[in-house]
Amino acid sequence: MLLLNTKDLIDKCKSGDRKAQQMLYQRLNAPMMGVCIRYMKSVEDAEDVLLEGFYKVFINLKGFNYENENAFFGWVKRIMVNEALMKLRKNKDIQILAINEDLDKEIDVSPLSEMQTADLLKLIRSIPVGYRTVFNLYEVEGYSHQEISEKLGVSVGTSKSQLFKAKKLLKDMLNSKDQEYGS
Amino acid sequence: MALNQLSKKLDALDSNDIGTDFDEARVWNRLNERLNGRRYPYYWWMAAACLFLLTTLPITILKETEPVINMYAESAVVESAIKEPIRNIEEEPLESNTHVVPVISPQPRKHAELKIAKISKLNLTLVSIEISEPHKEQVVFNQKDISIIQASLESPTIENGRKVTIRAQWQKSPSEAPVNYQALKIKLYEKDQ
Repeated sequence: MLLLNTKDLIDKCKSGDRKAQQMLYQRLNAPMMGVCIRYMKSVEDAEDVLLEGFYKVFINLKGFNYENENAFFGWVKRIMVNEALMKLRKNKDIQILAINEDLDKEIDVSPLSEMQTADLLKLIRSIPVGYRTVFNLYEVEGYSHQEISEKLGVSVGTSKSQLFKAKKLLKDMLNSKDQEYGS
Repeated sequence: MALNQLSKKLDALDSNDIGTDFDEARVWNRLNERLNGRRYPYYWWMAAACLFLLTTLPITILKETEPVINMYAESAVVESAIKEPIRNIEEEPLESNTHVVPVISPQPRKHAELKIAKISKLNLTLVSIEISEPHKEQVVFNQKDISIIQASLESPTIENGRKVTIRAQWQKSPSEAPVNYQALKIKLYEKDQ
């Protein structure tokens, strides 16, 4: 069982093999917890999302046609993101207000990609949930503003303004961090 | 445009990077329980069906055998059966020594279910009406409102003490229009012979 590749593992999971399901869970739980935790406020909420997400993965696996590992990973990730958004909506955590200012002004957040992963995650989690959600969806998951507006039930402008604010805040935090190190 | 590097970096997280007290075994145990719960959902359906049958069946049987409260205990109970075709009843008004105890059935029946010949006019002296669990939308009548019942019987013969369902209209007085239409259950008794 330990030597099974992802496709074989998925096939076994489809037939309801609990050992295979556990193995698949063990392979994917860390990166998927990373997805959940960057959306959710608390570890408990992230665990709930992870559980619900994996449950849906196993339930819907029969209808999934395996092409390659990346596609499968992307599929699981999308399920986790959707679950996280559902949970945020359910908890009424997302409070997104339209802020119409400087929407077209570009803010460079490329230094973020040079950060250590743990620090990066910590930084993203420290910004308000509305900013964080839009930032994650746009910058990390790669959704367009149109898609984000549909997913969150907000206007495209609101999505843009949230992203702008998120980037601004992250940049300020990076700068202050640099200053701390510098001093 | 997504920052690909950012996405790659975050997707490659391992449990140390998460930096929280995430307990993967605990989540797996919960997930395993959830998946086990789903494995035999039909057991729950069967259990629910059995429970439903166990609760509804005795109620149905009880309803069938439910005695009609006899308000004429001191004068009524009859030995002999009243077994006569309905047309006889139609032809002759019920004798004064026959008592009718109507009981309003909780649910009105569909008209189509009632086949029988009509009792042209029954002048009843009502003593009591038992209304069991009247439905919210159902008009409930006071005993004093009813003086005349026009009814049709569900079965062609009436046996002594047997409960019979009729459909009826009743009026306060012959001059007024019927106030409603309702399924009734009546039980016929004959006075001491």
